Amino acid sequence: MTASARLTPVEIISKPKPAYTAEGRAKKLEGEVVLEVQFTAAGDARVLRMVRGLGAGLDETAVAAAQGIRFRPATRDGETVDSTAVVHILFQLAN
Amino acid sequence: MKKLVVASLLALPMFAQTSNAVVDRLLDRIVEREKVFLDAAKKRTPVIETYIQESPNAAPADERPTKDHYFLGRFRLGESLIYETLIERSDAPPQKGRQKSRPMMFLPRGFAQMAVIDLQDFNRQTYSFEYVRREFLGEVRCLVFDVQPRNRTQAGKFVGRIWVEDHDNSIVRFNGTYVDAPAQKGTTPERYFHFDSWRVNVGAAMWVPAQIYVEEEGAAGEGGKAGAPRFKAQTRIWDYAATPSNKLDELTGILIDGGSAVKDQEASKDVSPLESQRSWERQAEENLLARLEKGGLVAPPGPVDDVLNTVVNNLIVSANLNVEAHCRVMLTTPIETFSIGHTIVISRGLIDVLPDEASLAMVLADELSHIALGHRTPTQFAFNNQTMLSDADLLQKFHFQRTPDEMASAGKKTIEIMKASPYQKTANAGLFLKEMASRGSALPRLLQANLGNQFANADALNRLAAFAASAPALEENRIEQIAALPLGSRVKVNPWNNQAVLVKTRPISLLSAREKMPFEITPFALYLTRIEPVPAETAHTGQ
Repeated sequence: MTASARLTPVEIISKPKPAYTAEGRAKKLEGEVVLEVQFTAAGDARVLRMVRGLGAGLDETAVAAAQGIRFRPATRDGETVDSTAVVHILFQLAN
Repeated sequence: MKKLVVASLLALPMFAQTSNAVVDRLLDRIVEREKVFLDAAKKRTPVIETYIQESPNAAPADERPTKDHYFLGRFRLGESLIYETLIERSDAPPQKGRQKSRPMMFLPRGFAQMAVIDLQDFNRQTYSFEYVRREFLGEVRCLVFDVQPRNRTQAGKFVGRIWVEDHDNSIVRFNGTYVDAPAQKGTTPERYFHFDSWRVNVGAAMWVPAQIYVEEEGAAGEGGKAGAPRFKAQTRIWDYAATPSNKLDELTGILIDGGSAVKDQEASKDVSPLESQRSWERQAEENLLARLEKGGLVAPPGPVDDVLNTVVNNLIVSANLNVEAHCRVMLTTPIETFSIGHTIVISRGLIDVLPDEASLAMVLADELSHIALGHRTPTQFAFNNQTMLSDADLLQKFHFQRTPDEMASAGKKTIEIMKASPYQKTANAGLFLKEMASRGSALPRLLQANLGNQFANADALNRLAAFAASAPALEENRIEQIAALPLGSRVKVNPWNNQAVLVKTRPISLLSAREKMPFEITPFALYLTRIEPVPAETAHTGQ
């Protein structure tokens, strides 16, 4: 039997500001796009699947925003490892 | 009663009496539509801009302008025409007691009058109509009539030709002059000029005056009196119903739901002093742009901005500048640029005359340099009361000129940005600067900025001397060398909502160097189209 592994979480350094699309603005679409994202050991944010979408081009900008998240990968016993999280991309208008 | 000749109608197999009744109804309808237009126009106070270029009388072969005049105002068509001056750049009024040598003065109100045929008496009792033919103006089929007052000596009455579109019988163009008043001893008579007045369709059966071209051949003075000037003028009208773009504020963000597996250091929401400062500057920028848009001076965001933004982004990326910048179009003719915060504003007149994309890049790079160097916008405009001004006060109070030091440092930065850019063929940009220097003394009012930086002064040319040095010598008689385009070459403006779009013209080869007409006024020939009414946006249910 081995001692329990020492884990450090993913550290988010910066997140881009998601852009509204002209179509989304015109249709006054609001809500959130929910994505399952893998923060890889190599430092890439990979979108595994879309849990919930909004349409009007906002899904695409949400994916682009998620991929633009900068982070330090999680570690297990000092080694970088993949880690998965649910990412909510919020879109709201001042109606 | 003058006989009406309506060839197309008479071609139908009907009795003359019947055709006369048809013609009567048609003419009544034209008169009625003009009344409807005048009633609708009473509710509007559009912006009107007139730019005049004079050429010397003495040398008729040389059409190169040697003098110019500029007027900006607003007008309303009521029982009479009301004109409010915003900017007036013309010769000083003559001194009293020197009537004989009094030069002719241009009255901006007179150009506004050319937006209508006759404010009071456009009816069949006052005017006779003679059918000429059918004609297409762009996509709009028109009936063409010659119109003249029944009393041919009645001063101020229109004499000329009208074009009437064939759906609702609205007048879409008229071309001619008004009957001059008889000269009276001891007074200087008001002269009426020849003009070509165009209206454009802005909605169902709604045609509004948009562009007027005026041209006079001039006449030599007699007996020591000053003669009439030889000139061309363009009048543009817009801002009939423009409302500032209702900017909807947006909030977007990213939340990461990873429990203890994710540590989000960005989650803090408090605003740092630096962020407060940036937000304050952004507020000043937004207030200024909103007021300029409301005043009909800056176009709402549109397709021309997209083209300009592409050029600016190319400059930012290639020069590795860590800045954000957007472009907007100022709707007036004088050649100018300025920047407010992160927004570059460039005048329609300047976009019109630039010969190519590299020249546009040079002009935009000059303003981008101010942004990259962190030259500030006055932040007192973040206080909302500072922009609560009348349009006339706005033009007095808003000035965005840079200091000589800022201009000098921006000049160096411009050259740096352009060297790193994809725009390496800058010969035309250099030629443009040379042409501007060559024309500068003759056209001071075209080159005088309304709000921003005068692009065409000696300092500007010195600052950007590297471009002029890289350009070949200016050869005005060489047909292949295009240093600057005529006014109106690139941008057209929707007179109703101020939207600016690029004109789509066919490339035409020049026949002589005379046709180059850099910075010059040309007649208008609008390609008229009908606008389908836009359905109202579906109301948001909030669900």
